[in-house]
This record gives sequence, C-alpha cells and structure tokens, in this order.
Amino acid sequence: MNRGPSRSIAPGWKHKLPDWIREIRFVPGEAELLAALGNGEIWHLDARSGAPIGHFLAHKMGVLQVQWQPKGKLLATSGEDGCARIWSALAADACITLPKQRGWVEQLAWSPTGRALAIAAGKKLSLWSPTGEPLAECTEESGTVLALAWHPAQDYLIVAHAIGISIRHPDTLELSDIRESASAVMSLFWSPNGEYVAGGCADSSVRFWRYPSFQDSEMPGYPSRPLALAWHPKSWRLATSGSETPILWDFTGAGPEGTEPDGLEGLSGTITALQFDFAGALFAAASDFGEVVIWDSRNGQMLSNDTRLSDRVTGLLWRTDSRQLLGSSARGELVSLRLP
Amino acid sequence: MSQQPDRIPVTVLTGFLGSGKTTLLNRILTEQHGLRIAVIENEYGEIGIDHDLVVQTDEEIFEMNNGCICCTVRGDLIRILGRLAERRDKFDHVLIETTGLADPGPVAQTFFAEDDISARYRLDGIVTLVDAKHVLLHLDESDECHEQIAFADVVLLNKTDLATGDELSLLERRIRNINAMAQIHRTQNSTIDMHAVLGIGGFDLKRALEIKPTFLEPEYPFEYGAIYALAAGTYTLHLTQAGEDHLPLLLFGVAGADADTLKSAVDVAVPVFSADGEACELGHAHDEHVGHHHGHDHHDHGHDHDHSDHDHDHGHVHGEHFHHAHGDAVHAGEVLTPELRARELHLHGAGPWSVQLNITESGNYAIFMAHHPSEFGAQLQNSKGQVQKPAVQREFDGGHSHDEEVGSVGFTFRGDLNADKASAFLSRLTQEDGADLFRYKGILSIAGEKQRFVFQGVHMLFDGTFDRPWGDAPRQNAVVFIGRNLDRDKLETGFGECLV
Repeated sequence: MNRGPSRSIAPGWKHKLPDWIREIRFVPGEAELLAALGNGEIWHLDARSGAPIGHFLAHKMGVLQVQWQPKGKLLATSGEDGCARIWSALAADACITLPKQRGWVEQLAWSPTGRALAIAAGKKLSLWSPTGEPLAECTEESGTVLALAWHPAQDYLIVAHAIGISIRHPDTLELSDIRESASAVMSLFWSPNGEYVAGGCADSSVRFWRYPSFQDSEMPGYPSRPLALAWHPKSWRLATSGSETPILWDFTGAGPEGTEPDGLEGLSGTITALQFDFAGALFAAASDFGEVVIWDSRNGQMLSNDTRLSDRVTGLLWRTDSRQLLGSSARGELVSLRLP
Repeated sequence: MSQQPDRIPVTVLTGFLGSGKTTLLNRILTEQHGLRIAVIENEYGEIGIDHDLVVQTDEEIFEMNNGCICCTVRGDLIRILGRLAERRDKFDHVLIETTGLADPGPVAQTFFAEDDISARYRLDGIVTLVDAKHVLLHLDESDECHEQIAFADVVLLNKTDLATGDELSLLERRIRNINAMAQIHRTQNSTIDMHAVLGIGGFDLKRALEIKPTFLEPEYPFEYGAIYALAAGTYTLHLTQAGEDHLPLLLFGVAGADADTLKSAVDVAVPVFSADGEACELGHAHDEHVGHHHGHDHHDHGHDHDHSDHDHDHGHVHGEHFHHAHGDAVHAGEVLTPELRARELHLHGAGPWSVQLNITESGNYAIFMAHHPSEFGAQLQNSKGQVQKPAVQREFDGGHSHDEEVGSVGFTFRGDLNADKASAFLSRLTQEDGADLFRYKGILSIAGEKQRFVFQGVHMLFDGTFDRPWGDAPRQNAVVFIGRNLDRDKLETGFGECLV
C-alpha cells in the first residue's frame, strides 16, 4: 500500500493563533470553527476563510478539553484551572462553571444523547446535567482517570486508568466491572457500532475489549505509545499511531486476531493525530514533524503529502462533506486543506 | 547524545510526612528568587496558597515493561510535564512534590525513560527533607526512608532545634553512610537558601569530596581510630548510650602518637579486625570481609544470625559483617587489656556501661572502633574520672555502619576509556545490577573526544552526553554509585577494563 502521491492538495488558508492549539472543533453547522489554546483562550474563526471572529478567555490556565454537546448547542470545556464550564454561546460570560475540582480537569465527555456531561479530575469522576446540576459522582479507586468513553448506545461509561478499565453505570457511575490489563490504558475510543472499545496503553500496545463480554485482545510492539487511535466510520478498521506508519487493523468479520494489518507510509515523524473522513474513503495522519498526509483509505494510495506545519501537529479535523481538512499545530498554526 | 541546553530544570522534593516539605514548598513559592516555578503537588498536598502553576495530581506508577519493577515511571508526570512544556515561556523551573512514602525511583526514571520528557526537561536535583527528631525511627524500619536518602542530591536535616548536637552528628553520619554524594544542610523550619535547593546542576565530584573526604577511599572494617598517650594505670571506657548493642574494638600498643603511626597502625588493625583474622591488603581486598558481597544473598536480610550468643533482632544486619568479634566478647564491668585481638563490647541492659582498661606500661596505645565513639557517647577516663584526649584520631569509611544494604561507592581514575567498551560495560552493569543501583553519576574521559562525557542514571536507565571541553583541566574519570550491595571491586575492575 505504498504509492506516491497522486495529486497535490493545496492549502486553502493559514492562520496563526497566539499559543499552542490544544483542540479544534467545528461549530455546529460547520460554517465556523473554534480553537482552544494552551493559554486558556478560545478562538472563533470563519471556517471558509480562516478569518477570526472573536476570542475570549475560557480558562485562567490552559484549556484541556473541548466538546460540543451531541445534537445540541452547548459547548463543554475543561481546564488547568480546575474548572469545567458549559457554554451556551461563544462569549466570555455565556457559561456556567461547575464546582472547582482539585487539580486539572483532564477528562470531559458528553453522553451520546447529550443529557449528561462526565468530567474527571484526578481520581474523581462526576456527572452533570447540561444545566450544571450534579447527577452522580464517584472516586475511581483504581487510579487517576486517564480517559472516558461512553458506549454509543449509552449502555456504559468506560473509564481508563492505571490498571485497565472500569465499566460504570451511565446514570449512577456505579461500578459494574473492572477489566485489568498489564499496563495503564491512556486513551479510549469506542467503535461507532459499539462492538469494541480500543485503548492506547502505556506499554506501547493497543488493547481492545469486545462488547458486551469485555473480553480483551492486545496488539503489542509499537515503537512508542499509540495514544491516537481512529475508527473507520463503519467500524471496519481501527487506525493506530505509535510510530511513523499508521497501522490499519481489519475489524470486519471475526476481528483482527490473526490478521496482518496494513501500514501506510508517507510520514517521517511520529504520528500525533489521525482521522478517517466521515465517509470512510479518506484517511489523514499527521506527525510531530508537522507533516500532514492524506491517503485513499480503500486502497492505501497516497493523495497528498506536501502540507507541512512548522511544529508538531496537535489535531486534525474533517468537514462532514470531506471537502475540507483542518490541521493545528503546537505553534498556533491553523491550516485548511481544500479537497476537490 | 546531543547537548540540550534549554531543557527545563526539575527539582523533586521528597521526605516523610511531617518532615517540612510543605513549609519548604511555600518558601520556594514565596521567596524572591526571580524564578517562575510550576509545582506538581501530590494528591495529599496541603500547599494551600494561591499560585497559578500548582498542579495537583495522583502519583500514578506505570510499568514500562511487563514485570520489570525497575522500569516504572510516573504516568501523571508524563502527561502533566508534556502539557506544561506547551507553556514553556510561562515558567522557568518545575518542582515535583512526592508523598512521604513514595519510592523516588519512578519519578527519577521518568526523566530517563521517556524521550518526550528527557528532551524537554532535565532532573536538576532530588531534595530530601529529613525530620531530625523522628527520622531514626524511619531509618531503622523503612526501606523508603533509605531510598529517599539514597536518591537525594540534597538532604535537608530539618527541625534541628528538636534534636541535640550528638543526635544530629549521628544522623549526619548515618545519612552519609547511605549517600556520600548528597549535600547535607541543617535547617530549622525548612529555612534554606534557595540556591541550595534550586539550580543544583549536575554531578560535582569536588563537592562530593568536600562532603565526605573518605568517599573515594576503600572501606575499612572500622569507623574510628585514635592514639592515646597513656601513663600506666587503670582507665575506664565509659559509654552512655548504645548506638548498637555491641561495639567491636581493638586496642594495642604503638610506637608513636602521630598521624604516620596511626597510618601504620591501620595496616596492623585491618587484618586483625577482619573476618577470621586472615591478613588482607588495604585497598579492595578487605572489602570481601567487610563490604557487601561476602558470598550470600544480601537481598535476604531476614535470615537468622546464628552466630552470636545474644539476640540480634534489632533491625540491622550488622552481625554478619563482623564475624571476627563474636568469640571475643567483653561485657560491661569486665577488664580489657591491650593486645592484637579484636574484641566486642556487649552492652546489655540499661546504660551507662563501662569497661576497665589496664595499662601496665606507659606508652602510646591505638584504639580502633567499628562505630564512631559519638554513637555510644564513649569517653576514655582515667581513674580520677578525667576525660583523656587522643593525641591523634581520624574517621574511616566503614562502608557498613547501620545501613549496610544501602551505601555509596565512588572513585576516580586516570586514562582514556574506549567508548564502545564503556558503553557496553555500563549497559551490562545496569542490566545485571540495575535493581540495586538507585542513582549513579559520572564524568568519563573518552578516547578521541575533546569534551567530557557526563552520565547519570536510575536503576536500569541512564543517559549520557558530552558536555564542556576538558580544556586545560586534567582528564580524569570520576564515578559515583549509590545503591544496595554495591561491589567496589566489580565497579573498579569493570571501568578499568574499558581503558584504552
């Protein structure tokens, strides 16, 4: 699956923001986008031109997570100031602030229906209504919460920690089960069909658990920690980081066990972000060298490899119609690639 | 192995609960030192001051490789330091506070095991706070306490106002026996010049020598030697406290009362003091008798000491290092005469204790003790109760003292090293003995290189880089190892075999 680029995809626009870009998101409707920065600001830009619309200080220190409420218009953010906030508009005063946590609020996840927001600071996990009422809370005794992932049908909330995953009730956070792994699980991603939850682990492996048995399998041997993972929108494939070569595992049929994955070549740096487009036809990956490469995910053909940011790429974001790919960098660069 | 001068310095603060860590942390954050410091505080921290860059976190220990206890790192630090590095322009220094019971290994290893971290940060120093009043209890009972001291670049002997001068001297000696590299500062209420804890920098052999002049010498089977000029008569060795419940010693006549005579007396005393009375050379051979490697498994310190007529259940493994004295017991109230025979004072029951010395002929007498007399409040008095002062005295690196299993070995040697051989030796050493090596540092003279090669490591993980040119300074290798059951011979031989 290693072929040269078939065509060049020229950058649509570039814009430079004042600090490290932690997260980029489209505003619902996709006419606008927002970027959350390491200095605590959220910038609001025109998605087609890159022109800034405004910005405001969302957190006293860096923004850590940003997530739109599914099927809603609320934006949840969390920060290094120990706060999680729910915004009704992109303006400094248009938010409610949840009670301050002890330590960074490193995790944040809306439930699939948008009726609850899970946040985690250290070992403390709590659930909030969109209007900021407390719904449930617990302490994750197995260690700091390293990642949160709601089952797509909202059957469970999965919590990653130093000894594996905890499976918790979506309303009460009551512990249903713990599945231990040999290493800390540092990121979590449910397959869109809800049949697998995959995690990047501290021992440079990828583990996944089958739903509903939560029986696990392991893909070890990555050169570095494969924390960035991405599912094909139809759950056919799982793309993994952990080296300079995106590895695509086949999850059709009985699953990836015993199969040889595909490797996509074209990057020289370690992968920092990867994403399938919403149709599953295109796949983009980016590296700590600032490279952004796009492949045809069906045949592995490289479509573009001439986009380069000046520092580590911190995020990739596809427009729903696959006509635009956005990339952000550690130096505050935002770049838009237009696809034919 | 490139130079990375812009790496952010990190200070790690360790110490048991109540040792004064929080007070020190508050001082660091409020003093006008011009540094903007990010603090990573453990979940039980009580810092309670409004500071922008305080990050509270759990101490998450991650295993790097399945089942290898040496390859543990701090997962929270990986994440948080990674994030903090994104704000590089906003702070100058990172301070990490650990819980009182934390093993410093994982935090130190994070800076060696994680490429992302070591590329952006450098471990400036580990500062261990010690509660001068209560640490002895921990030292006798807690491996963590030994390890926190063993890992330290700086030890703050805090709350000195609550301890006596003798207690502090004893404590300093014990700390230095564990870690000969660390700078020890006596403090009250954690008051210390910030330069002593921040910006400590790298390995400084000169400093290590200033701290403990005997550091580079071989280990001796005793810690103290002196020559007294005594008139014929009866004397009393008076002991007010029991540093141990037995004190091996040797008393014999010598020709003079000067330093040279004492030096000659050492040559006489070493084989007598050593196991089985066999002669051994000064230098390294006697390590086999008094060091940490005499043929049985030192990991098993829980075995019975079936070689004594009294109970050794006092939390030490002292007895196994001094086979010689067990047949020559002297109990309090008994009489000691000068002779070339090692004896062991047994201090049972409540003190004070005294042993009578019969000097039949006026002259000079050398006395060697396995432990420093201050540990026992030992004084030599004449029949009128007047304290006798030695004509000459000196301390020796016993290399065992109370903390036999944890200690330091350091040495210098001249000559250029073959880079491949040195690298292979260090790799082999750390693979084989990494579990017992807490910290090690060194400067090496590599053949064909104009710059000094400096390295440091924790357990199995180490990092080396060429730093400044030797210039006019004499090329010389210097290494320090702090750990458990260290084998000086093996280290010296290993490095020696790397010479070109």
